[in-house]
Amino acid sequence: MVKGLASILLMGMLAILTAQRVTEWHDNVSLWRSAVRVSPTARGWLNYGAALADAGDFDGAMACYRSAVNTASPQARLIQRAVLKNLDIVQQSDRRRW
Amino acid sequence: MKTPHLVLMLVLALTALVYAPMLSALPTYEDVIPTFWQGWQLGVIRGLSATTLNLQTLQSLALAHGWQIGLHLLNGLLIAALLERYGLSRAVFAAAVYLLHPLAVESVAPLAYRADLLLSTVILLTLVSTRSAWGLLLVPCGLMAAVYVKESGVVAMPLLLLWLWITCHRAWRPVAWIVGPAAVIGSARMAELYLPRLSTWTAPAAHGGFWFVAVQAAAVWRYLALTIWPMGLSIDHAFDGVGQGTALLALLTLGIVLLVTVLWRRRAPALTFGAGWVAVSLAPHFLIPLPDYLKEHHWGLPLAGLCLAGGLTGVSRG
Repeated sequence: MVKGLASILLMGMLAILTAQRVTEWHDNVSLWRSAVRVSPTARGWLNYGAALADAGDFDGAMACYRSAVNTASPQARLIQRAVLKNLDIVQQSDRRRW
Repeated sequence: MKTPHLVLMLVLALTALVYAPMLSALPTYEDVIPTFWQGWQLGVIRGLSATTLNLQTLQSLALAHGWQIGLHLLNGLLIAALLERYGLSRAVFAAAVYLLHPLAVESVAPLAYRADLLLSTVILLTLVSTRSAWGLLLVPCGLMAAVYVKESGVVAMPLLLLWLWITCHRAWRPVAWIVGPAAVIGSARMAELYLPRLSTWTAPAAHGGFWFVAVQAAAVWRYLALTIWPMGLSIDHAFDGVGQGTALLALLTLGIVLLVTVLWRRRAPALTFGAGWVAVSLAPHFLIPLPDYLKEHHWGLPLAGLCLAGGLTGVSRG
């Protein structure tokens, strides 16, 4: 009886966590939002920014790119180069918008 | 219908329900890499798809995701089928843990990682086929299909040996003589496929050689911790900053644990099986440096092995 209840409880918990993870994998914005929440790496911020830029949220993207530049990481130089390139793309689209 | 069968059906239904939102998911991360996607059409799927199962006909994202979910459900059923003879309840429990574990999501959700999920299916099918004399005829096909699905599918051979070692006391030695050389040839083929491509990949962090192996050992401990306590799952685990002391300790403890499980092979064969399965299925990641130390979709096959080991706990060999 106790074993059965424990098993049901465990399965219920696993199902809730899985459902939550499945929703995180719905699109790039939700995926990278969850990634930077868990481990705020430069790559995470860069990809989150790119996802926001794709979705049209340029202000959000800029904030993410700034966070990426400010993150210390072994791949910092590589990431910073990519960030600067993406910032340039965002600024160009911003100029075109206005 | 027995109660465990009913429970298994309920678990399958719950899994399908939990994964259902995936059907409306958009392409994510590596799914959107131009070489994979050709417009909105699914690109050529490597491995089995090229000949026997042309998934290029799956023009719809929902269908492609549905296919992935279907494979995951099939894997759960195969785990239950493999453990059925050791007790229905434990078979259903092991299958349920595999099906509902959040660590499995990354091998089901992104279409770009479809080969990992398919590899688990092919390997589990190969193990199931050892249950009957006629099924044994399918084993060579399964082993070949595994290598065809993914280069690291070469691990199917030692995994089959492990399965035979724990379930088929008498058969594993003669099979080892046949499968052993094939495993060596397969490994050489894998090295031949991978080595020319290594120069094009970004080496993980600044580690090389020994330290790469040590940090990878730390990643194995992290995988195990995430299996027990699946909080903090992420597409991008920060693992480059692991210190040398931590990495060395991780490698040392991993070595000791593996040694202990080998020494305890008679006392706790399920533990030996589980440790062996994890070691074998992750071996390619120790030998071939990938850009990331820890990717959750690499844990799909080891997770299946751990569920099998859990179901075999307390069972004597043979």
